[in-house]
Amino acid sequence: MRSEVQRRQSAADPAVVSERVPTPAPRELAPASDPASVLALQRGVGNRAVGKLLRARAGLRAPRLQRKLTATGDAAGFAAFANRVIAVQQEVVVSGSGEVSLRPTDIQGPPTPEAAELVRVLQLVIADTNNVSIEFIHGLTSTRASDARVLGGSFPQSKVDLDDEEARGTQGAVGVGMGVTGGALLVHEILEQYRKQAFSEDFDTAHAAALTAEGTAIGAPRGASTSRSVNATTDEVTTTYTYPDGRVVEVMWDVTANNISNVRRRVVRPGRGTP
Amino acid sequence: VSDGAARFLSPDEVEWEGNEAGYQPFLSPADERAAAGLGAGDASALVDALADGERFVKAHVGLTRLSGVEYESFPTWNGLELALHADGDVSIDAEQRARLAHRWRQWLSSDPRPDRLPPA
Repeated sequence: MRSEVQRRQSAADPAVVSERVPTPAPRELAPASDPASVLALQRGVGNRAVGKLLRARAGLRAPRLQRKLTATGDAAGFAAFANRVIAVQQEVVVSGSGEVSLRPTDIQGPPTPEAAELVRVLQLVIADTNNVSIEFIHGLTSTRASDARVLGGSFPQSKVDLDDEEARGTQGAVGVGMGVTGGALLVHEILEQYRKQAFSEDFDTAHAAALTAEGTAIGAPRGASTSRSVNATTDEVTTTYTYPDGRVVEVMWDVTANNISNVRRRVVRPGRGTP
Repeated sequence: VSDGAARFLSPDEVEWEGNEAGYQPFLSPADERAAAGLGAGDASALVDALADGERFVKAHVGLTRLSGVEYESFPTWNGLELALHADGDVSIDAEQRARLAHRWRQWLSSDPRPDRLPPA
């Protein structure tokens, strides 16, 4: 004979029934003659059994841990650089399996613009259910041919060259308002990979979004950027940044074998109100 | 076709990367050696090759290197429009080759030659 509760479950929205019949903890089980307790026990045992059966059929022993952002390669190097960028309030932690997370610290103080934007982008990527994986390399010492194609990052290879980002420094080191920094470019590369891997965006769309985030981190949009060959092996890249107060900063660097060196900065025009 | 241009315009394709600066072309090792050997006398042959739908991309890359012009890397690569897809595939519309050829002819016929490729 079916009880009143069992009839409701079979006829109505199971979720509604579930609210009306909370599952008690095992040690609090009422006597088996209580229809609600019997139903709860039946559902709890049944759900576990079904879950076990499905996992067995799928060849899984236990539920898989879902990773949102995974750092491979020199994950510790990534965390170290990111934490020099962030510096206050929060820090990046990378687990042994490469899972990236943020946790609060007791180091107080205002974050730089690049720190605030890096934290925002990391929070965005970590909170998304899509998995994003980025390999962090060192272009100066890597002997892999594919790494020689990485300049700052590589869209198709999902790589970031920490040496190239280190070469541009952080706002804590070069100052705020001095054009592009490695922290801003780390923001760029992470967001670009997120857009590619989570939304299958082409380079032009993902790169444009990354440029916007980079501009927020710098405090000024990336302006005209030109390249010219200095000699057979080296190109010189020049990029200008115009800040809201009219300040114009030019940043130049050399690119040899796709590695960045000799970064130079100069204020082309001071901002309004600058003595 | 000059010897230098003929060596450079081998069937090897140009491969493309997307990096922080924008698009970046990569040549095979043999094409890199051939590119290093390009001289001023090869420019006309490379401009002529821009008419060929199979070779215009490489000719454009070679001319950009040979000329030493300043160029942008994004949203175009020195005027070349391309799409780098999320799966790594690259699409380049060959219809743009006439436009590029016109710009390079303008550059080649200018005296003095401009620092940048003339606008379309």
